[in-house]
Amino acid sequence: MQSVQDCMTAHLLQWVICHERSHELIEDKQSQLLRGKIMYRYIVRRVLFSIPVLLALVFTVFVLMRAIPGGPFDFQGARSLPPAVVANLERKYHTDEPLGKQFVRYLAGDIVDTGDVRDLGKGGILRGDLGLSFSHQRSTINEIVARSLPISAQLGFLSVSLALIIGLSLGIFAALRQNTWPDYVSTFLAVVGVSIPSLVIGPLLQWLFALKLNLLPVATWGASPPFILGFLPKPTKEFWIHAILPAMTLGMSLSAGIARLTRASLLQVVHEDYIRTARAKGLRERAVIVRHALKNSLIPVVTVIGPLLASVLMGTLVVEQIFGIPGMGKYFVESIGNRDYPLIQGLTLIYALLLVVMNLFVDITYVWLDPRIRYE
Amino acid sequence: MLKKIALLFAIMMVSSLVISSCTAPEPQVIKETVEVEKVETVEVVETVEVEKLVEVTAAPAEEDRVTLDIVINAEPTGLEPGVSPGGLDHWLKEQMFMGLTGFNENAEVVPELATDWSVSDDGLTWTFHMRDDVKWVHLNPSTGEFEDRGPVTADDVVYGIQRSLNPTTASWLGYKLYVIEGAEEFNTADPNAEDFEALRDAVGVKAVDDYTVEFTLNGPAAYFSSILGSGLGVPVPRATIEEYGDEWTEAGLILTNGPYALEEWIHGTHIRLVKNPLWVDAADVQIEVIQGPIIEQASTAMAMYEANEIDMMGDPGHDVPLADLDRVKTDPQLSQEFVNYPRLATYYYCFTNNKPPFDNVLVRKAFTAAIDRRSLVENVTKGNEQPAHSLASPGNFGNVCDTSIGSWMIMDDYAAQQEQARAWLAEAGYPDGEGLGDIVVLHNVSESHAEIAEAIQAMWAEAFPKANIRIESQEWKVFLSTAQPETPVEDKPHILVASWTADYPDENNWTNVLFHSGGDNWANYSNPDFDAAVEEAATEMDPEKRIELYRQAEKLLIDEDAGIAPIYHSTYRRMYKPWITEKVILPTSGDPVAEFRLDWEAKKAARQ
Repeated sequence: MQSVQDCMTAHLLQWVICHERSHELIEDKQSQLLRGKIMYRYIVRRVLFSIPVLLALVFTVFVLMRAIPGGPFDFQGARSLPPAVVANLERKYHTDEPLGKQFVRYLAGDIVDTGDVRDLGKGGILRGDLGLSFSHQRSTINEIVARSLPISAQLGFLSVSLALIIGLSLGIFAALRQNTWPDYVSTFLAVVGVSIPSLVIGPLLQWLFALKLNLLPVATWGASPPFILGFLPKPTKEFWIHAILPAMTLGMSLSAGIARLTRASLLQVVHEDYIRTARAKGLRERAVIVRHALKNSLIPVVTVIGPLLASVLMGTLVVEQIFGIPGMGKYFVESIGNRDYPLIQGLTLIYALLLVVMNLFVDITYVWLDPRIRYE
Repeated sequence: MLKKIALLFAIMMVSSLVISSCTAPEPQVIKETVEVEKVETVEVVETVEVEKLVEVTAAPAEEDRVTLDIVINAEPTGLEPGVSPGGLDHWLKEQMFMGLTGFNENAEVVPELATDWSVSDDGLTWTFHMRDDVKWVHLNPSTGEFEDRGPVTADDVVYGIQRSLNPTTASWLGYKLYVIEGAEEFNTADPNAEDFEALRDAVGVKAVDDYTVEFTLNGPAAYFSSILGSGLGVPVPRATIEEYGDEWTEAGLILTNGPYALEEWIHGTHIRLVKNPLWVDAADVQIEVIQGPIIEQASTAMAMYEANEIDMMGDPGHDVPLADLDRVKTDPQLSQEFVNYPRLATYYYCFTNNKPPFDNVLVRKAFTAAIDRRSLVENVTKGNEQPAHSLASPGNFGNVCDTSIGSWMIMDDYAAQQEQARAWLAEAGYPDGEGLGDIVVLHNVSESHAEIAEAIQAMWAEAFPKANIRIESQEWKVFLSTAQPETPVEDKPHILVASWTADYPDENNWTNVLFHSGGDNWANYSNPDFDAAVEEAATEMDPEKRIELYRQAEKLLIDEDAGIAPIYHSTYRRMYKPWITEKVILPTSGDPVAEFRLDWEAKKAARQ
């Protein structure tokens, strides 16, 4: 752990240093170090603050799920289960205990009554064990996450990369040619992209590339566990041909938003004084845009990308369903329908963790993008 | 010492490799004697002789195996017979396990693992004689080797029943065996109680000899052989389960006794079954592999079907989606592949029989009669469903689907039927629906329920112009809580949208389970004569008398009391590629792929 933190500090220092150089600001070494130290403290503080937030979230979801009418074992199909069967199931999953004890068990695991923990699924979330799923009898939640999160993350990462490439270029392109026909065309494309849901784009791409042109498979994902390092797919042809359509579907709808944001923000920045100054001192247009304007205009984009990345990595129900991808999106919906308390609790917890990390990452990126931002 | 053993293993591995690479591609049985030397610390050398029958199948190249490509519509909740619920699991289990009885294409009970059975005169003792040539097999997924793990015996059946009922297994299905003596007592026992073992042994199932199993029931139940066909009382391998616990159904650990064995189960992603060469009728099984990804969206499955990636639409995947039906039916090629089969299912509306104004039988009759079932089936559901005028669908033992019942809701001339409905409502004191108040129809959230409800709402509005009918929907589990008989009448809607698929094809699973006043009776229907008839039919052993009793019961429920409004009997909406040349479709699902035939060359050509 220590070494990871050291490593992060080193990186941050490097960023800071590089950034300062590029802006040719004169600061002595001592103040650079000071800034690194402040940054480091800031990060530690943020991490510490997020712990009570996460605990509060776990508690809220725990209570809210149990407040919904209907329980996990009330029915099989459309019929109610006999009380004895329900009692057996409740004993097995400990839902017959008082809520307080259940919550402590959820946090600390079976240690509450046996003094030790034997099986996976009974360790409690404080040890990183998310528990047993009520509706997937063959899996612990850790197993469900370990097999579906990497797939969702692979798709999410590809889509966001695609969205950034398309969105940024379209946005910059439009902003630099403001109020000319290329601007109108790309704005039009962006509006279209935002308004057509992936529910439509997905089947359309399927129909075109799989059914008519017969180039790509209709559905399923081209990589399955075990993954390299637990999350990386083997980069086979199988993987890529299956990834193209879903990544395009998801990437296209994401890119539209990014394009519009980039355009608006860049337009605002190019009219600022320091850009005029840069031009006045005779810098080439390319240098003005790339080095000074673009970097600064990315702040709103980065602000959006953080949470967006978190949500996309967690899986998107619609795209995963259309393309039959065994990702995590469906569990969000299904676990609520099934009243699978541990599953939805575990998923929200992971989502929250990811959001915390992404937001922190965004905040750190600000410093690199804009020298005026500091955390004290 | 360790080195010695390791060396021995290495030699065994290499020799088996050599053997398997030398053999011709066709399966071959090799008898090998393995000598294992165990050296204990006290330097006592003992030699254990193990005799193993190993079937070595040099796995042919992947694409040369005759393969049925399917999709599976959800991750199975589990693959252990008698424990996990779900129709999809049932389909997969039917390919891998043989139970005592099964069903044929007419939903009649047929022998499977049992050769024949007899019932004592009092109907309490059922004796099943089992075939002695069925084996437990283990498939090693990495080598493709099948291993004979001994015969399937009566003890395995006993163990299967005990496991379904054991409260620590927490089976969802155990209660369906409560007709067996002592079953309920054991299933509801406290696992820590002293007499727990005694209660287990008191369950009325025992192995008379290796291949004879005897059940003792609480009371006569003519439908018992039917229950055993629905995936309960299936033998399971005791030793394997005791060794691995709930894990035992994973690929590589599982023992099966049916035509197919589990080769691969990547959770949430993919399942592959392969032909079991040691199965009794293996020579007649043509399809060697059944495989498919888990695809939850029906429209995705449909696209895969059209791209020739899968060979069929239907269990364990999806039926043809409603949105595609019109296109499929008009397309010259697709319409050839589209087929309907009857299911053991009925779609009906439940009146809350004790909620005014529906506590009046004339109101219930009027609302039942005002539904134009033929038009609904033709224009809304479009799956060649059969308009229903009784509860149990055709195929169930004791069903009453002839015109002797409910003919007034299925007249040839709908206008006359509507006139009759209006007359009944006027007679009840609500001419044109005036004074009925707000009528609420409640369904669980689902597009198809909503479409049907809107169509029926329009029919009612036309027949009773002054009635005020509202459609509401609730999330599934909330809906189920509302539907319970315990829910106070004022919180229940006037009409509940319901459908029922038989667990086993017998009227007992319909009239008795759904509308006995002491049961899970959504309609709050109560008629002592009806209760008496279904109770008597449940314990009657004479088929003729049972049929007569069920006719009485349905007549009371439908004609006399109009407790529910039957709407249609559902169908499977399936598609099969032309290269599936032979198939067997069961109304009970779990179609035996072992009896399918597939033109492999044609399929390969189409997929080029």
